[in-house]
Amino acid sequence: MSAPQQQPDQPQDIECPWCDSKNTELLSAYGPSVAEMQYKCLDCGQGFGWMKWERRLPEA
Amino acid sequence: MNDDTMKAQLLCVADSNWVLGHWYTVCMLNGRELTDFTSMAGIAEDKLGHTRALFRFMEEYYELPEYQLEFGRAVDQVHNMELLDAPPQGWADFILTLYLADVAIWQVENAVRDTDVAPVKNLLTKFGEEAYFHQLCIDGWLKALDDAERDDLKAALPGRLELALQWFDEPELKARFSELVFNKLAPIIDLSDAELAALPAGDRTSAWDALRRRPEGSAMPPRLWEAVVPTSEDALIARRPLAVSVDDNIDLFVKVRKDETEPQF
Ligand SMILES: [Zn+2]
Repeated sequence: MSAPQQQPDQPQDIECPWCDSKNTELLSAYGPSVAEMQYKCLDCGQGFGWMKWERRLPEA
Repeated sequence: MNDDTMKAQLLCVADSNWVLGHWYTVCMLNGRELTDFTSMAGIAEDKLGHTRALFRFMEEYYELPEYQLEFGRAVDQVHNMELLDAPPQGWADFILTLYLADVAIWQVENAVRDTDVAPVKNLLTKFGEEAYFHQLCIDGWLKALDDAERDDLKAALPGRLELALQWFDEPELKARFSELVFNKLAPIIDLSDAELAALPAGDRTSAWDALRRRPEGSAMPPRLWEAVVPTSEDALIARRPLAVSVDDNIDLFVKVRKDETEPQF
């Protein structure tokens, strides 16, 4: 039996830095550095890193 | 907030992140897929980084000797949360405890952000931006539990929750923490109203050290402390450069001796 896929509640409306599309999907919770999540743009096909310093904070 | 209160609160979050970072490093090999390993390694780096940043800031701000906070304290002077004292009993207990610790620590960090001390406000805000990320990973782990693991989580909840709730001095933070935890966990483990009502309230049962947010005189177990600040011969040798001394008589320039015949400018 394979391990279940993890699908964390990803941040919404992550914009592609190449074409500004919000039609993007999460590839990996950690990228080449701990500061990045890896995303892929479903419109232009480019990959990009979403940086954790987007000023989002946990619920308090 | 007077200075001693802030100092104690900063130590509580710095020391709790210190132990939490080591939970990740020690348990990392129990991961199940590549994403687990990269996430745990990343979160460990962040949590230990938060501790390092606070230690360095506090040593300067409170005029303490350098490395005093890391190497100059006995275990019963460390302000780590009791929630992290007992090792994880399995995967579900591990994920549950990571979750409770992360949410609890952020509640206090967020409250301390109210300070006028700009570096503290900025540091804690940055920690939050990273904790947001950590909590996304933990959400994924919670959602990926299988049926047996959800049962294990339910069984582990009363004991872990009791220690997490005891950590809070501030009634409003404690209430908000409970709300966040129940909202998150109730759908996952299917808590009935009766089960919810039977969960512990986090009342303290022994003499309390308010500064350390722990039972008076208590400390983390020796095996955990050894993981945090190893005292093995190898570890002592490895950190020997910190204990610099003129008695070592080290000549830093042996290989680049100045040529006195060269023209001086
Ligand atoms: Zn695009």
